Amino acid sequence: MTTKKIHILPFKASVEVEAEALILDAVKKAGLPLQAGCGGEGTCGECVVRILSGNYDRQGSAALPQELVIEGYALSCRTRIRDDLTILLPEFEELSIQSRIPDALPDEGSISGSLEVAPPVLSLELTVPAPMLEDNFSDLHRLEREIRKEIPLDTLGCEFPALKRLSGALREKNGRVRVVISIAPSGRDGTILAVRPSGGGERLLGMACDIGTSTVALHLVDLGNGGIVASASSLNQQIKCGEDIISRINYALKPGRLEELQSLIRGTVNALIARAAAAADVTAAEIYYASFSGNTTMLHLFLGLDPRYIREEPYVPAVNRVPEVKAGDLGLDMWPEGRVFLAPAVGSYVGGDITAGLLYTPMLQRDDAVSLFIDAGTNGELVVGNKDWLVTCACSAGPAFEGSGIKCGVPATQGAIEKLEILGDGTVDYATIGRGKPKGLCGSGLVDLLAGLFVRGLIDRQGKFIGKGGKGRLMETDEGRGFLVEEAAACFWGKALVITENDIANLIRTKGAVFSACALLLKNLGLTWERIEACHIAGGFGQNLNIENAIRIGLLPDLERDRFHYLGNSSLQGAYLILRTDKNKRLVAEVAKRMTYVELNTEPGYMNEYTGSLFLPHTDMDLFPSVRDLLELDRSEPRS
Amino acid sequence: MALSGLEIFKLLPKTNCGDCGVPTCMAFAMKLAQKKAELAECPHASEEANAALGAAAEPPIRLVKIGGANALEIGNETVMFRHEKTFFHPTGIALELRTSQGKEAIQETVKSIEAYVPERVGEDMSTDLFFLEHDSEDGADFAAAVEVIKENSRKGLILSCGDRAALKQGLELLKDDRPAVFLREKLADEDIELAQAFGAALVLMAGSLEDLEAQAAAAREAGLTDIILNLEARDTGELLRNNTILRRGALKSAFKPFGYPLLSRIRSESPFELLAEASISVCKYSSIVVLPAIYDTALLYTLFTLRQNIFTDPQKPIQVDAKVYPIGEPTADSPVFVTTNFSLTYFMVSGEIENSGISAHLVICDVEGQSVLTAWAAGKFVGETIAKFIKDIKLEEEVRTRKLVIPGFVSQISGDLEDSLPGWEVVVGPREASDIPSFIKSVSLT
Repeated sequence: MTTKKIHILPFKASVEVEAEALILDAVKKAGLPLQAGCGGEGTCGECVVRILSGNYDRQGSAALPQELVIEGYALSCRTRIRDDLTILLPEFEELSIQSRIPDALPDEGSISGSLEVAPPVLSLELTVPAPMLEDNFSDLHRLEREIRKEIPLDTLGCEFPALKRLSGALREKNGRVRVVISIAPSGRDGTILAVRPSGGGERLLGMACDIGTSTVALHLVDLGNGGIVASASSLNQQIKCGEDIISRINYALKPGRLEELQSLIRGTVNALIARAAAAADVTAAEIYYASFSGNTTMLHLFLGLDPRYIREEPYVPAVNRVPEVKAGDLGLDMWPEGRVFLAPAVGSYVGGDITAGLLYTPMLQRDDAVSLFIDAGTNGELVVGNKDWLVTCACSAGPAFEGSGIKCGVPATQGAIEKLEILGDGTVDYATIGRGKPKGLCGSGLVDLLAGLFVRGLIDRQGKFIGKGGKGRLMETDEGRGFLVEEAAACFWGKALVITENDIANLIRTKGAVFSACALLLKNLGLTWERIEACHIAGGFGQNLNIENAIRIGLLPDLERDRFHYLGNSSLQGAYLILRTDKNKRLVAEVAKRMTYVELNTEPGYMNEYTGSLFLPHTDMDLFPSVRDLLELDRSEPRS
Repeated sequence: MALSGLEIFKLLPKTNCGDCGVPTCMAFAMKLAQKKAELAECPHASEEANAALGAAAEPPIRLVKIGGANALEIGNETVMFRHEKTFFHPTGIALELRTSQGKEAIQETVKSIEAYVPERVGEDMSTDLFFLEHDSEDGADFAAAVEVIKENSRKGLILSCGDRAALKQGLELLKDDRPAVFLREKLADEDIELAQAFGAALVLMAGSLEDLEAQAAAAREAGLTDIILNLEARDTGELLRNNTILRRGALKSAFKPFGYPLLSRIRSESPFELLAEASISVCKYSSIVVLPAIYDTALLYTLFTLRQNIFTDPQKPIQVDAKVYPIGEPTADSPVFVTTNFSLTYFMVSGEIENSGISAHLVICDVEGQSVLTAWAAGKFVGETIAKFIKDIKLEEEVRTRKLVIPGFVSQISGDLEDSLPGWEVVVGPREASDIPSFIKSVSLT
């Protein structure tokens, strides 16, 4: 039997399999994520890959439209390997479109973090005088002398690999060298990371990365001016080991699994680095500093720390404030002696994604006004407070608004329906990211869909389909009743987009968990909704979130609309702010220290609040006067 | 009025120094608001904070004790409805005794009451107090009756006597027993002196809210703290209305004259009306219910059960014992189901297995009374722990079955459970208990 080599992009993974094996099996053998909901029957169309080169034998399947076949797509469960192949997992291909990168930096006053550029590493062009008999100090001593002329430092160390290259580098261009020095947050202690002869044209780069439970996103940053040079995001490869953090922690319990999870997230980050570096035409070794943010469990898995005790009472993490780590120790594709900073966590269920995210809101500098910060990720987190105090809690929201666990849900990437409206005549008007054929709905589209179904009277307050409206779009599916969003022929995968009652129930549970946690937290503090003067929303909903619709379904409270601010991925932006200046690093440490964590599990009123929130918008309509007025107005209008 | 965490925070130094043992001032403020900490734990608290918190710290309803050793504690309630938090002190049930009954009859009743201690879900249930009413001609009868009761019972006493000299004799006998005195007339200075001299609580009786307020204010003014309120009601409806007004006044308006426990005397003649009135009192805010001088165990048992249900803490899940429960008449070859020891879970699962008509073994694991998913999320209902329990109880010696049905919500633990329990096959059951009967029909479980 002959073996064939399969290269799998964008992971740069290679795997050897026997000829005539299925591509699906090769991908599985490589340990990479590829879904096949139908179990390899060739009917679901989920396991599609794009074949970039090589010979293969493809069996036809109705699940793949002809126009995709022409473009080189194939169902991996129906395609046998003839020759060495290079394939691309399309989910990752499409994810290169960032979910939300702000075009411009925010105004200085609109965020709490500083926008100055004072990064933790700097590079110096120096001329080190050649040694002489009268000046016979060592190479390192003479270099240090020149560095100290430029920047006053109490201590100055040197990484061993830099030392090894020092003498050669000093003599190559008559003492003209470029030195990269990392500066500790004190500002008084430095370490030489690299010494090179001048004129290599290298850039001084840093990266900011948000490790989400479902999605990982990264900015590559020019540390000279603080500008973002490239961005990339993709699914967290750990997702095949469980969708939520509890499942991941559970998965990690068995021997060898923690290493597997760590290697998966390392692979995800390194693939993103490679993609971003390629886009910006730089090399990964020019990255000298990395700033990470993520929830506590993700940071544990990234560091390879046992997350087990996060899940067990009394819910204690191994560490909240991680000392700076060397990139080489974590296997990151960047300068090995470069430093890695992780935004500090508050506790097991409020992590560095939240402390970093707060830098991207103005709430840390508000004097008296109370703000609310909602991060509606897979694990939902809330923060209430101002300059003087911050109270935080977590709730298990689930990944529904990130497109997981919903049959027609997708992450906010190319082909996702991000905006949707059900018109009066029952037709559905929508827009996809990238304007192509739809692949599914991302969080913002799902919010619009749920609100549309509700306001148009197609579902009742419990999310059950009612009546025979919807112009023939209401239908029976394998999973009960559903609503046809778009028919098969118009969809990217040639499969109709349908939302079922199960999906709706899942979305209602998610929005109910978020809202009830907010309500309970405010109640605990003796605050009313009216006191919330600004409400900052983060999460993987997509480019934009229709606030009106989010209120109609009861995800957000019924406050004046101008109090709401949608931030997108505030965790990534926070990590980026930390990278820009050490001032923000000090701020995030201070913020983590003064946040007060409240455990909602032990609150007697939680189930009560939660159950009340499992309706559209809520059992208590007095909480949503604008929605009540809208529904009453709607009822009083004659129906055609 | 109790201060919110935020209001207390504003009074604290806001330094997050951690000297109180809590990481932030806000966390400390929230503990203070929940009365889980004392301001004294903060070494940097200002005078102003002490004053403000001290005023707010006074409980909205005063805690009063009646009786010597094992005194009945009543009052100190903080909520209108049980589900808001919990009710702390169960209603004391008092049985009325009358001096006109004669010493023998009184002794007999006291002895029967002492002997009547039924058990329900592991808890002994009994009455708490006697209410002694002087209704005979001779003043000496009163002290004699007190003596008889004291000889035969250690329960606390509420004394009702129109003759102050006789009352004083009775109180002399109860010097260390912290009795309560029920006032048949409006509060007089002599009553206050008597209460202070003997450390007795006073039950103020009034016909109207205004009268009650005036008496309570006067008693407070005189420095009395152990006060109990009795507002006479003409019927059950008025009783409910009165008690609600008094409780709301104490909690919602922090109206100090009403911030004391309530006592209701039940006077209906018909046993059904009597039970209705007593039940309303237990559910709605009476801290003491005085039953007429009839000894009726059916009535008592009903009230005990009601009281037990109202005064369990809804914050603590009710648990069943962790062990193997036989459903029907299982043999060594009957199917084996496993779930958690949250009592609702147990009742629903056992009920549905019974409904299916088969006999089975139901293994109940100890997860501190949590439901299936909660216990799973906390790592208490996972392969390792279930396997350990099954080995500990030596189930493998009792049954030959080697299939174990787990709840559908934790299907993900099936692999781990099989690994930890060699020789067993794990079958994933339905998510909802209601689907158990149809599941049993469709799958082979042995």
